[in-house]
Amino acid sequence: MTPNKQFSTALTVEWMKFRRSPVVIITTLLLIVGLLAMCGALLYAIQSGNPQLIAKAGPTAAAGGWTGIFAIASQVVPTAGLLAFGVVAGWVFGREFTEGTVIGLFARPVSRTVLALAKFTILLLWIAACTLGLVSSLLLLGIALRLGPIDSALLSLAAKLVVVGVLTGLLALVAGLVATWTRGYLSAIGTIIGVVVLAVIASFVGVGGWFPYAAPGIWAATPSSTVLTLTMTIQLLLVVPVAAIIAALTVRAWSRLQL
Amino acid sequence: MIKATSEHAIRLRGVSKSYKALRALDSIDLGVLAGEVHALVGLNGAGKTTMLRVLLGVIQPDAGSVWVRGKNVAHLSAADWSGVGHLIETPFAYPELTVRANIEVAALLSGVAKKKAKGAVDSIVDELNLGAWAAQRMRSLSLGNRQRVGLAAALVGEVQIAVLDEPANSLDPAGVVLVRDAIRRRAHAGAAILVSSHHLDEVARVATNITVINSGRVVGALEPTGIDLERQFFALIEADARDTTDAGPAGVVKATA
Repeated sequence: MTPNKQFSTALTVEWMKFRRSPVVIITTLLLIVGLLAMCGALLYAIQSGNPQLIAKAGPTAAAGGWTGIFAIASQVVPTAGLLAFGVVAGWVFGREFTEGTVIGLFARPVSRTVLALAKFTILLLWIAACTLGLVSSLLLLGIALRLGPIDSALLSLAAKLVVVGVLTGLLALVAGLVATWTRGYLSAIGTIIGVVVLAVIASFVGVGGWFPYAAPGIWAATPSSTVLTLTMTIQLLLVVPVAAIIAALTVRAWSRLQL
Repeated sequence: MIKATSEHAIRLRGVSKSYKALRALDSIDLGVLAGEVHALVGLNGAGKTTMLRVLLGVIQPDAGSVWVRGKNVAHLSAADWSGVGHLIETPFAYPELTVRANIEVAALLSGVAKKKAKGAVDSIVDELNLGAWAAQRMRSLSLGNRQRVGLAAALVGEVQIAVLDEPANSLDPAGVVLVRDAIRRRAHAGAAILVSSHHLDEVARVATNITVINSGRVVGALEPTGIDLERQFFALIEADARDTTDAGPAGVVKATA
């Protein structure tokens, strides 16, 4: 079997499992529907003049309209996305150990290296699809709520949220590595929760920007009028090599797997 | 020691494996030819499953080598595993997939072309009488039917080598007969089959060779057509236990001078 044939077979097999997995279906629905419900409810409460919620949402969200709804989403996506994407990434790799199917992946003409690459490919496509689905749904919600015309400023907000979502998803891939190292998905979920806590602490102590797990959230919280500085750009770009190293370590662990 | 020959579909030479002080495998030599059904029998914890795991590259031996179709497993490429089916410990099946989808997954991962996968799945579903459950999800199946699906996943396609750990586990009498026939058919077609079991009667019905394992060692062989296999089996085990007692605690690596 050629490498290309191996990869296409691995993609077919992984997709068969992924699209029927209750964990994936429920997480996707919770992420998109949950976020929409939260944004809609908060926007309604702000427009109703609830002073406590207005104070809690911050000045950008309190402004309401398109800016407000995207400000709310930007606050939620870095945390909720990390949890949701992390749960699924941990599940995709960890389930093979937890359910004992990993032995069935040995001694096959499709190597475990290729299977791990196929898992990552499907995860990345799903993260991108989820993020686009989320932003599209927000736009539809805003249109339904008559928040204003679609202009270049709105598209800029939408593009920023897409970037935040994808960067968050890349960081969540660490759950796949932890699941592989610990031979199960539970510890991966624990790790993701720990990472969220660390990101919050890093932000509090003022080094968040240089902690890749906090950087997308910090950028997301800045007002749309803020110019993206070179420092912040570097901090955000750091996410890519971090994710690449995580993916490389995971694939290496799968290729050398011993049970 | 078994003579090294490229005729063996499966060959283990001097394979040893220890877990800390426990010697799980001790200088195992074993060969399986095409067309043979070679059975490993032994008590629980004798080392049967460990041997099969070493054979499939799931764990590395501490010493010795494993050869599949004349190639050292340590240097096999993925393509070299084509035509090898196996069922070790847990049936290879995902709860959210139907029986048919699970077998299709196994077929694709075994190297069956996409165009031929449906035919291969239909064939094994029919052979193992899984038609009534083919559209059901795995999570709704009984233990016995899950085992049957695991066996279907191991035997789907054109299997040249099959490695089966306790294949009759959880099967009802009808399932046992179906699996026995499936194994025989493949052996007659030229496949090399290695099965582990602790059910002597069942093994004797299907095996061409029986190797007895105890405390990680090959302690003898039984003739499948022999009389009173159980008595012979225990005679080998007791003789080995006596030898081990004379030499030191069972299963513990002997101190080297």
